[in-house]
Amino acid sequence: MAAHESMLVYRGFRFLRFSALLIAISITAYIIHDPLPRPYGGSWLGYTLGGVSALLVVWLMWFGIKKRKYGKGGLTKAWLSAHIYLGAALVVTTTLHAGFQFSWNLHTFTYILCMLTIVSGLFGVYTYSRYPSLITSNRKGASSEDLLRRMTELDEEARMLTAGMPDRVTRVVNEAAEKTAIGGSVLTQLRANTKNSPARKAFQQMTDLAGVATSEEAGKFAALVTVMGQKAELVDRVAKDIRFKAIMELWLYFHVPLAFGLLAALIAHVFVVFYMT
Amino acid sequence: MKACVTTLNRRRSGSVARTEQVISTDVLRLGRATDCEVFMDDMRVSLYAARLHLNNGNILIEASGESTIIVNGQPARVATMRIGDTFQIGPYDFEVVAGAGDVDIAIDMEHVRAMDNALADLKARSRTRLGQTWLSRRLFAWAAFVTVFAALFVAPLVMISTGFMASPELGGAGGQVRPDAALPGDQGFKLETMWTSGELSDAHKYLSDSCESCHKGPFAGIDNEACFSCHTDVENHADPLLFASSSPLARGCVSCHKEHHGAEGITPQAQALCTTCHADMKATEPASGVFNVSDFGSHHPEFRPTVIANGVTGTTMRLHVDEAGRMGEQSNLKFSHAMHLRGDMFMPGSSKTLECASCHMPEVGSQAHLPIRMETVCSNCHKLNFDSNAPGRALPHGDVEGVRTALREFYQSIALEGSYKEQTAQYHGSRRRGIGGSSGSTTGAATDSAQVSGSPTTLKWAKAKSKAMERLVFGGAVCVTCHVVSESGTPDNPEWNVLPVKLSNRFLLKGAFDHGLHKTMECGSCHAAKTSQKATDLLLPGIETCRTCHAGEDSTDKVPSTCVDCHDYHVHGLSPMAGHNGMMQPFGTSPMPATPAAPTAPVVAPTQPAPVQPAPAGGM
Repeated sequence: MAAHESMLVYRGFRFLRFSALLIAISITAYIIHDPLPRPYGGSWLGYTLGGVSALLVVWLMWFGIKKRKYGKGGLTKAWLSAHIYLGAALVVTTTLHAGFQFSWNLHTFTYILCMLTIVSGLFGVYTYSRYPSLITSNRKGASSEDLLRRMTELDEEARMLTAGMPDRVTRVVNEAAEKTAIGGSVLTQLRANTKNSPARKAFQQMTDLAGVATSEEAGKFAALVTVMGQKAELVDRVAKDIRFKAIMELWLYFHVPLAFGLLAALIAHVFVVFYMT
Repeated sequence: MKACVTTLNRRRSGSVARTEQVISTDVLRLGRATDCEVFMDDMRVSLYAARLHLNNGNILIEASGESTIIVNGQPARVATMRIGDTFQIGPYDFEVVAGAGDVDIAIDMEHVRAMDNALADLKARSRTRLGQTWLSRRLFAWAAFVTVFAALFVAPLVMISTGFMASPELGGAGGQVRPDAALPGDQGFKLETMWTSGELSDAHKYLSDSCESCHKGPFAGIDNEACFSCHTDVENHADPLLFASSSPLARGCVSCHKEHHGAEGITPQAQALCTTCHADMKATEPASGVFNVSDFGSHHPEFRPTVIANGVTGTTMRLHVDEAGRMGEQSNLKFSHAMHLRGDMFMPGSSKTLECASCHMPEVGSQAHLPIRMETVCSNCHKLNFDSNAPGRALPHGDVEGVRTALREFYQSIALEGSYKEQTAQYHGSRRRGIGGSSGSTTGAATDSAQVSGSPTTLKWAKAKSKAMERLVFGGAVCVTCHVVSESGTPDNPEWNVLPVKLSNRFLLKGAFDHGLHKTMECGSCHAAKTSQKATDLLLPGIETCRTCHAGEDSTDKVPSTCVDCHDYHVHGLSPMAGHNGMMQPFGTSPMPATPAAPTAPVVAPTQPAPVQPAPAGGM
């Protein structure tokens, strides 16, 4: 196994092939089978596809528990690979199970929950394929912790530079340091809008102050402007870092609750089918 | 060069601990690297932040790393230091002090800005993960599970169970769920309807809110009795005593009638529904005499119309269409379609020539046609007039004695009014105008010439006149046009026998042809009426005619047609499926009705319905 083989190509797409086989069998059976009056969940193929789909849902949810048991290593990757491909196969098996019959009822609701869970999961796959590289290039090799530490260093450097400077200068530097808060609410984290961040404002103010500085102060101001600029830029970078991480996490706040809603609906669905048989 | 580095360590009490370190070196390196002479254990400091050395007696500081050096409050890369000068590297403050003895460079060093505080403060102010916000996967997951489970499982379960308990069926009293039981009107949204597996068919839609009408209990399935509650008179498919295996009861109504598929399913159309058994009936049910059929387009027996074999007794026979054609419809009628459709006959008072629809009028719904009757159809033209002097006067139809009476009474009344003439049989109807002097076609019968009303002579005239007319009507001009008439008795006192007419209104009794669906077709494309000279001609097309347009359900180039397009599953005339206590009842009052044994005319089931009574049609 290659060192950085992704969950998608795990063992030469082993689970993709498995999933494709499942889909092919389902579609073939669906085409051949011709129940009266039309394909529906209650024909023998309908029950079979439904049973397979239900077991898949339970098994896929088991992944949530498995993932916690095995922290690292190939096993988690295998599970994740299977989770993705077999989860995607559910689109086909459940649709054929339903025989394309949809209505305003528990059964279609279960189907919709299943589709939403899968769609949210596929969004997760998308984020996993897109954002890690963005995060890495944004951090430029540093860790999130490094970025924050660097921010405090810049604050310190700015403070040191303010020694002997007028109060209005120290005030700008202090405010930039003390008011800077990274992230925040869900929306703030996702939006990463730093146009009006305290650091950005301070940089602007410092630039303005430097513009009217006396020649003997010019050197210090130049240094301060540089440091404040670096800080504002760092704040942007950290906000972006948080935004990427938030996106990578956000889908799970849909995926997991949807999956649990699906589990409840699935239990009701299976029960009702036999209760009202 | 000798350097003395003093590390100041401020205690909480305020006192300062001083740790001196004397180093002999050419260059004093300051940095985070462990081989630096002045080691600064703080991550914010560059590995090699600065170098201090003597240059012509001056202390020179040079920045060598990324960390900014601030000398006396000014950022600098290189600076000359004097005693009392200060510089800062990262979180460390330095001061150049006067060295004791032979020390060349003496500095005090203090770690004034502990790293953790600023960072910890920043972190405390910040929320960098979604997990630090109000979002919670665990909470959401539980909320979703509980909400869905409660709303879609627990609540409807309670409602439905209540419904089952309220159902009279659970009492075991055999109570019936009649349609009216479910008709208290719209009860608004009911949660349990979320459990439905699909739309009900239109006929059952009013039961959408009352699952318990058909679902009699938990895990109970749909029992035939639920259907029979309303469908009391749905007939069997075959005689249940003779053909138990084909009894729909055994399989259950729902094996064919699939509900909850909307308009689909409740009356299944698929060919396979029938051909599963009927493809090989000769092997599986030889006693039935039913032919094998698997597809209308390729495997369907020729039509076997039921035709009148004897118009007098009304006996019918079901024959292969060719045989039926050879035998002909023995209706006792004289009729030529060809003559009527010749194109030179007009509807009375109209310029419209006769066409098929002039006589064959569609019944309500247009599926079939109204029976042909003298009174409603033929008499539009055939008025049964008998005396040209009285064109409004018509004879009764279908009543030999009535005709005689009508003739006698008519001529007696003429005689009594004194309006007859002798010999030439001319008479003057004083009540009528415009007939005087004209000689009618009734000449040659009357012999009297007296003009005295009410005398024996006039009555004699009337008698002779009516007798003569009777012979003309029955034997020569009127009845025999359409009817087979024979004479018996004496020449003076003849008896007239008119053979009764029986006409089939439908020939294919096992299937229904819908004329209404074929309105766009010319009648002549199936029925060769324009060349038919005799009433015995069977104008029914064979299956090949149908097959020019129709084929089995899988046909792609013809009208796909399944069994139920023409045939009914529940055979009209068989006993209802819903019998006493749901037991099957044999057809009719006789448990084993006689089976018509004509080898050429096998029937669908031995319990074929009684011979169809053709539409009664009197002679014309």
